[in-house]
Amino acid sequence: MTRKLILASAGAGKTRYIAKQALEMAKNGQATLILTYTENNQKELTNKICKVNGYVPSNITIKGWFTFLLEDMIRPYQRCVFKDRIPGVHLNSFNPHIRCGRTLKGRSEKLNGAYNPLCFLTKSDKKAHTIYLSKLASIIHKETKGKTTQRLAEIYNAVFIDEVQDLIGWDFDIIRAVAKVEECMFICVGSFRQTIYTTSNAQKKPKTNAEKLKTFKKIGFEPEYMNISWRCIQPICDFADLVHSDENCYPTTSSQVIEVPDEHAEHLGVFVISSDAVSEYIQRYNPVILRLNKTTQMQLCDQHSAYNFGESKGLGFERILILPTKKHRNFLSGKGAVFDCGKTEKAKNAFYVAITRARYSVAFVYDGDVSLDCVDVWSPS
Amino acid sequence: MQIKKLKLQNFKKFDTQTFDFNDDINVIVGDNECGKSTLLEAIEICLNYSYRGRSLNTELTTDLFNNGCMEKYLKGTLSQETLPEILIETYLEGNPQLKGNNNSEKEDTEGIFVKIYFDPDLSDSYAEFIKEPEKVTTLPVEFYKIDWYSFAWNRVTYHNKKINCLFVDPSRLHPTFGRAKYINSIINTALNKNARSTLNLNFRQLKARFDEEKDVIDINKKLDAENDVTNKSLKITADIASTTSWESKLQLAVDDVTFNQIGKGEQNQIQIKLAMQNKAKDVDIVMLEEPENHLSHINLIQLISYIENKNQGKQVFLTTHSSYVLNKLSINKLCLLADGYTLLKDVNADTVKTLKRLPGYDTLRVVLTQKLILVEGPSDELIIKKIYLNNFGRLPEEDGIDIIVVRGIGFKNYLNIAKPLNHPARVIKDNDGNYQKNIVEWAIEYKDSDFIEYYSPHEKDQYSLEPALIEANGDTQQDLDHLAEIMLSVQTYKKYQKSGDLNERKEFLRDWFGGKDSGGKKVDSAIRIFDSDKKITFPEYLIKAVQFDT
Repeated sequence: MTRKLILASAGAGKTRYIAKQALEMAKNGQATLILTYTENNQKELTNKICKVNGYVPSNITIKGWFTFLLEDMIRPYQRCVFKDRIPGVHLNSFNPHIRCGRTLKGRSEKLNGAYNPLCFLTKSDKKAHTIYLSKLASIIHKETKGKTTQRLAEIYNAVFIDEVQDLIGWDFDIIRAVAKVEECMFICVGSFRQTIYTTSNAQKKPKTNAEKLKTFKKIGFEPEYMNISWRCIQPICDFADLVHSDENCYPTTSSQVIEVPDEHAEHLGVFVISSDAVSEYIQRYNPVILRLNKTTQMQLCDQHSAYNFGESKGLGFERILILPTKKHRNFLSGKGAVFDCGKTEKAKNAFYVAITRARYSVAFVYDGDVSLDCVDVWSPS
Repeated sequence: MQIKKLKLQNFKKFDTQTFDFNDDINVIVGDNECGKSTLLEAIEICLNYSYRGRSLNTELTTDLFNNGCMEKYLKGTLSQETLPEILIETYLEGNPQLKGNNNSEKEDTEGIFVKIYFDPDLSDSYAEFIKEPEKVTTLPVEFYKIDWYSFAWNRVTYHNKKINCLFVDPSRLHPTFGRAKYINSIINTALNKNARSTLNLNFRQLKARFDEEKDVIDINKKLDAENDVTNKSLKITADIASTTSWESKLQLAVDDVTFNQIGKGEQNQIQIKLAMQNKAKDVDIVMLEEPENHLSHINLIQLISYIENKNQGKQVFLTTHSSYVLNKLSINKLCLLADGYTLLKDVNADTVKTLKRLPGYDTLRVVLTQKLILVEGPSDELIIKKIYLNNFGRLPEEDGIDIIVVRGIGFKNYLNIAKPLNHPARVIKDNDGNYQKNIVEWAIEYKDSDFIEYYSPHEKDQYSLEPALIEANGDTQQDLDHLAEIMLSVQTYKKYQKSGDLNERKEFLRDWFGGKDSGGKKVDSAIRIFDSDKKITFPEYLIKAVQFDT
């Protein structure tokens, strides 16, 4: 059965691709499970399916990753590990076993040879820590010798994971387990350059995009590139591709935007704007402002529609104005490897996300020299 | 979807009991008060989360608990962990979403369960409640909560369970049982989804039509013409809010008579037929309580063949006291509730067929009586009753002994039912002149079933009841004359007296009962014996046949 990993560039239409595939299968009476990490993306998937089909057929199920782990991978056979029903999940924003930099006592995975509830569940209401959810699921999968995925295959003919780049560490044990079920079609779709959230604070490999890609190949996934953009014009695609060009593993993105409406045709591409020209620029083109966080240049953002880099994911705008961070400025000035000093790839990916929001123009507030060919300097005259 | 198995703990009559089912039809049979309805109620609770048509939450009372478990609790220490729990598990097939091993058998299978148990969050209140143990006289169900989960241990909702059962119970037409809701559930199953929406829409449009009716407009104009009451417009309007759907306002009518006013038999038939039709195809399980109720035999025949023809894709559970219903729907669909539970499956195929074609035989009596005697004809029955009456002063049926005359279909169709059920039976059979061949060899297929016993004279010349009676009373001519005088009409007795010595007289009697068309003569004689106060000697094998250890 198909084991496909689709590596999509931003704006490639991967959600639409999943929607269409699932609908095709639904039409043939086959049941599909679509998994994704964020609630927003679950809504997005529902909307896409409705756009094509009018409603979500009963044999297409859209679930969040945690819900899937709890309802399908943990509860049905959880008694081999924990006797009492796990009532829900507890969202961790940090490791619950570390307080003030020190690991708490009595939180080890096993205690006297049995799995330790304090490691996996909250003390008071016994909800499962999301940070260890896929680990727990993977333990149950092993303890039951694969009953969890057999059950899954009885329910579904195909499993899709959207935004697979958000998964990390033990999540890949689950991907491996599902991939072993012969009778089930399994397609993962991700836009690795857009990885900005992860399901758990990374403790286990794979953590980086490179490690994840390697793991996928090892499991037996056939990578396939979806290097197109239905959103950005070619100059923006080219500029965005530069962000990850040092990794040498993403083919050139080709824009599918053929016609630009007349009202936008006059100003196309990537620009830098000096600080004193910004208000003039904003007045003329009314771009959406993208910033690091709410405290970035509050005066400028006041009265305008503005998004943080992170929240802009999945959205699209005619024109954007980026308030660059120091790293962004270094990038514009032509310094290589500007993102490598960070612990994660988050800053790099957030930059890619920001750029690819724009259909017709990307502008930076920037006063220094520009050494990139594809970037023009804009001035009011 | 089908129910493969039902498991009950502490629910009403059952402390612990498991029931296996057939995928198509289940005919549930048992004595009164044996728990037939309880079984259906348990299924309704588990699949629909409702008890007798109402939400289980509002129906949680001590009535649901097994008496034994409540008594045990009240006599015990009252400590929290001794509070009894009700568990109802349905093991299902057809929806792997419900699969997991969270069931009492730890079986990896599909299913749904309802668990009614003490809510540990209320342990402080409970501690208060048992402070004075002598005042605790009832199970405190107020401290209980209910879980409704699949075997995957996920919450079951009406939407995700994807299995639906419909309980057709004519007694729910009674106003106190939420009649409207009940009728609607029946109507609903009979309509497809489009029809439901169309009805609802049309019903709401009624309001608009009413308001626009010329007469209504005129009345409304005059209602507050001078705006005395209010400055706004005051109107009388039809009260059909969009939230109240047609379901609560519409009624079924048969020949313009509303449904609850038509005859009980007709009500019964229409409900069952609508449920079986199930145009919406959304009912997996139909449960019928005693479909024979209020129906004439002819109507019952029609209804049963309707059920037989329309049950495809549905699992049917029905309770019955009618052998006709059981035989017609196939004796091998029998689910017997008596001293436990037996699913009768391995019935001889010919017997199943015979009974389907000749459903008038009393198979239920075979299944339900513990002291069963099978006899060949009505004269055997009469003589046995007479012996019992002489010995005990009562008729056998008063002591729970049931005598069945096997008539046309013979002994074996009855024994083929008793055998797989391990059901005791006594067979009183003529040896027809050869005990070895007609009793021993005849019964060879039941040789391992020692609960089936045979009563028959061994002697060749006692080939049937009458010759055996003649032998038993044939030691002297005086005895024989005494018997003949009771058995024969005055006219025949006179002929008999002329027939010669003892042996010739015996010969006369044997010939009299042996000839063609002797059936009537035999019955007449048996009735004479039964009615007579004079004593005769009865054959030994018949006396033994009515002796039951008490």
